[in-house]
Amino acid sequence: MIKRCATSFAISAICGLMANMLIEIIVRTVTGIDNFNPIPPEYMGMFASERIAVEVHILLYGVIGAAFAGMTFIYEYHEIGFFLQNLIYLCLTGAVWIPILTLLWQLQRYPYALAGTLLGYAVSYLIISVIEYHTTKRDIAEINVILAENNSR
Amino acid sequence: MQVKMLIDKKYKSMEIHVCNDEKNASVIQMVKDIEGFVNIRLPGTDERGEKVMLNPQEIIRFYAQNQKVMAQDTKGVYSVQKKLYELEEILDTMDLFRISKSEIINLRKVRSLDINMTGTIKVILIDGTETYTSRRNVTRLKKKLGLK
Repeated sequence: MIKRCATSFAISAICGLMANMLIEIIVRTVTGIDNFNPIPPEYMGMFASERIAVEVHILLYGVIGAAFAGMTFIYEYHEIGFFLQNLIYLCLTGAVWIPILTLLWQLQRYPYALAGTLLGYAVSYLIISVIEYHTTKRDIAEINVILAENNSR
Repeated sequence: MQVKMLIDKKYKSMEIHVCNDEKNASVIQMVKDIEGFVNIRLPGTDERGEKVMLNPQEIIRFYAQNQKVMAQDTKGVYSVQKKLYELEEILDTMDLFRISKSEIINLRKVRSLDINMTGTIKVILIDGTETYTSRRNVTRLKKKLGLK
């Protein structure tokens, strides 16, 4: 499992990096802004040069991608149920992306935006979990009918 | 091809007959397939360390434990030398279903499935053994059972 986690972590980090670079190229091409820079000046001010700031920015997006992929190991533990799996996944990934995006987007300067993002993220997971629960419950009821028929033969 | 069930007192145990107007390759293959399905035996070792030949039809589940693959029936638990994926290949004519990375169940030995309020999906086997699976596997199982 560790090997699989590490592999998906590495692949996702590279994918995250490449996706971010690709988006920047597309934006530059579409907008025609050669010196397009997706980072706020407050963040850039933390670094000695713009180039380092952008490189760290791209690297951190890679880390977010890797975290989202690497933390899926939690879905291997079936006995804890998918409500708890989703909650743990939400917390583990949040522990990575929240500080990174706060740094990159300087979200601490916009507390309402930060609160809205967190709330939206948590509510989305809750809604997905409830839908999953009802769908699975219905599927299990259908499966049990077939199993009961097979067992009565 | 017709499949008939003949119930008669003259049969003292179950018999399978393959009938055709000539002996050809498909008849020979059919006989081989049925013999393989009915008579296949799997070498295993019981809890006392004695070698036994297991009837796969009687196995409730195969699971990995401490780097070993175990087979469980209503009488006990046995270790087998095959890997789980090898068992899936060898016993592909049986109703086996992979419910997790470390476990395969015999669908003919499943009593029911259950889900609780935390979303834990329990698989209850005919001997009362309880094991767990994921939501994704429930969807796969539905397809395997012919449900949409």
